[in-house]
Amino acid sequence: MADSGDFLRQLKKEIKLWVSEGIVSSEQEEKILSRYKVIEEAEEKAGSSKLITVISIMGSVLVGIGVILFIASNWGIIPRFGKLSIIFLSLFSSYALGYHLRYEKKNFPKVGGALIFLGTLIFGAGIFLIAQIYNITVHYPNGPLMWALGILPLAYLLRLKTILFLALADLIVWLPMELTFHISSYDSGMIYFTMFLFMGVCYFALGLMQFQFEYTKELSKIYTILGAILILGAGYIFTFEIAKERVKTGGDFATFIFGFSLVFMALFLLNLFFVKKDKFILVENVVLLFLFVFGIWYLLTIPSESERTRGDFFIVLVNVIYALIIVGTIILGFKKKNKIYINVGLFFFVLDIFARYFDFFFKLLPRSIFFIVGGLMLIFGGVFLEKKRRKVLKSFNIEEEKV
Amino acid sequence: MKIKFILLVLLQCLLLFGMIGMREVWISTGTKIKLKCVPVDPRDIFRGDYARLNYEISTLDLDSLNCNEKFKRNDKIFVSLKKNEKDYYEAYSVSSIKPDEPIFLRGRAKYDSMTNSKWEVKIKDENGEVKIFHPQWFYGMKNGEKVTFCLDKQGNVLSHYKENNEYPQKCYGEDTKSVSGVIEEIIETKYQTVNVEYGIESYFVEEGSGRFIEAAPRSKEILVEVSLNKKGEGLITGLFIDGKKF
Repeated sequence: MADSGDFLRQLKKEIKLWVSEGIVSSEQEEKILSRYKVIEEAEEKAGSSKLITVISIMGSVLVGIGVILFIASNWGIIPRFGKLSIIFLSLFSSYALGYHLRYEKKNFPKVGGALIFLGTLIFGAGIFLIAQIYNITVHYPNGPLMWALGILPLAYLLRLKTILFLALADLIVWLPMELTFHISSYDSGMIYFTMFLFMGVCYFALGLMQFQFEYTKELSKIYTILGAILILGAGYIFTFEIAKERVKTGGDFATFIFGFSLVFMALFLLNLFFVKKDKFILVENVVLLFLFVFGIWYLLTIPSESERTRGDFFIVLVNVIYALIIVGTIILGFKKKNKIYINVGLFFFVLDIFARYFDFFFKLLPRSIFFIVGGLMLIFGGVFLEKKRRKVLKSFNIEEEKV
Repeated sequence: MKIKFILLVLLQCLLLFGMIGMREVWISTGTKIKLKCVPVDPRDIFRGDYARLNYEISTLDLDSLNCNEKFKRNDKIFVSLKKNEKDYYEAYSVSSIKPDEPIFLRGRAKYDSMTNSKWEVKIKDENGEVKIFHPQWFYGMKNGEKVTFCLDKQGNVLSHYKENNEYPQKCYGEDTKSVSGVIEEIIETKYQTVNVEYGIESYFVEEGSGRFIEAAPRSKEILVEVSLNKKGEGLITGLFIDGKKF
């Protein structure tokens, strides 16, 4: 949904340009702006609509946590039937009220959206309540999976980013839980990070695909952000010595590799051959393919018992690739005029610098110099990055959010 | 859109009702059995307080159950059960294939099956009397050396130490007694065990009362009532401490 406050800010900026170009006179400028005066006054009095969204979502999250904690305390006074009734009643009422406010009366769309989001939280609480009542421990990962699958259709029907975020986050929680059932206790933790890399690649590819359709354009951003964070986050682990470890001893996770490969290949082909509106999509897809193949290669080339670890060359190579991907993400952000790419890229850029600084210099320099230089680097680095970031964002004509 | 919205919400409810219905049918049609357990500890962030249950059949002695199979972590394990004279069920055979017997539980190996040792130590005390003890472990001692066993009231071995005149030791704790003697014979018997998870290891209780079950003295008998379905999956339906339903 278009934010009227954002629109007004944009309009003001544009209109100045129009006046200077002689498209409209300053009289007309005033006339046009006065049309939107109501919005401006409302924002001044009541705070921006972004703030309302944030506050009502925070409210929903708090109530949701409350419901989960209420269930967790498992009071014996309330019978099983009573607890289930509470869940179903609160589920229905928050959905119904939310829908009414957002789509029927339309007077509180933000609060309505937050209430529907609360409904999806209560749905999850219901799953855990039932698991508690029946003492279910049999295959517990099914809980988050059911939660995600149960609310995903709702996210698409109503096009609510909050619900989509919750569903995708549930799946991120589900993945490692399910994975522990398939690998042995001796297996390296790197398997988890490789799977997160696969998941990130798939999320990102899904984001790219959905960006091309008007209906899913807004939703696609959630996929891209989470995808980028998963890829760069998992990749970060690969830049450490730990990635040299032996990976596998006897676990059976072929199904995971097969599943992710199938999903990714389908998305890759779709993105490449059927959706071609974006000129960057080829580059992005090739990078994703490279990352995916890297993951597969990593899992398949397991150092043998006699070698125990991969060589130093591997770590150097991974570090170079990782740095390139971060720089690539930031450049892509410039080209696509997308501040999210830039922010995510910069965040991991700082993390990477920090880690490498520790890796290389901690042993070489005397402690005091190590900390002073490190501190100064962060302070000046921070100033530099902040300046750079402002400049970049300014060039997109986007005013920084004050929230 | 309204109709679609309502349909999706109903779908969510259907999922929840499905979870409930499945369990209710399971409880009403399943075979009820009781299992003996030793509880341990903690807290589940989503689901509140629960007692972690450890059953007698959670660790299986494969040799005494005449099972030669080796199990890997996450392998399926079928445990056939028989009722004993104390009214609860015990394992009497183990297999990786579904058994023909009507009452069995299905579980997963928690770790690869492993080799453990049972010890039997014969000593001759000062009066020349030969006594036999079963310590948990017994390494680093030879026949002819002098050893002291620390025993609890029931006569179980709590610990042991080698007699050494330079560093005299004694048994600690109340109600312990010690028996010393010269080692006559040490017999180590190796046997295979496997740790099994049946999916009935958590029992959810009201906040704050989990500790009560876990802290129940060892002398108390804790039995868990489980409803078994035909596939050998269990669902906890009750917990009894010394015959009283908790």
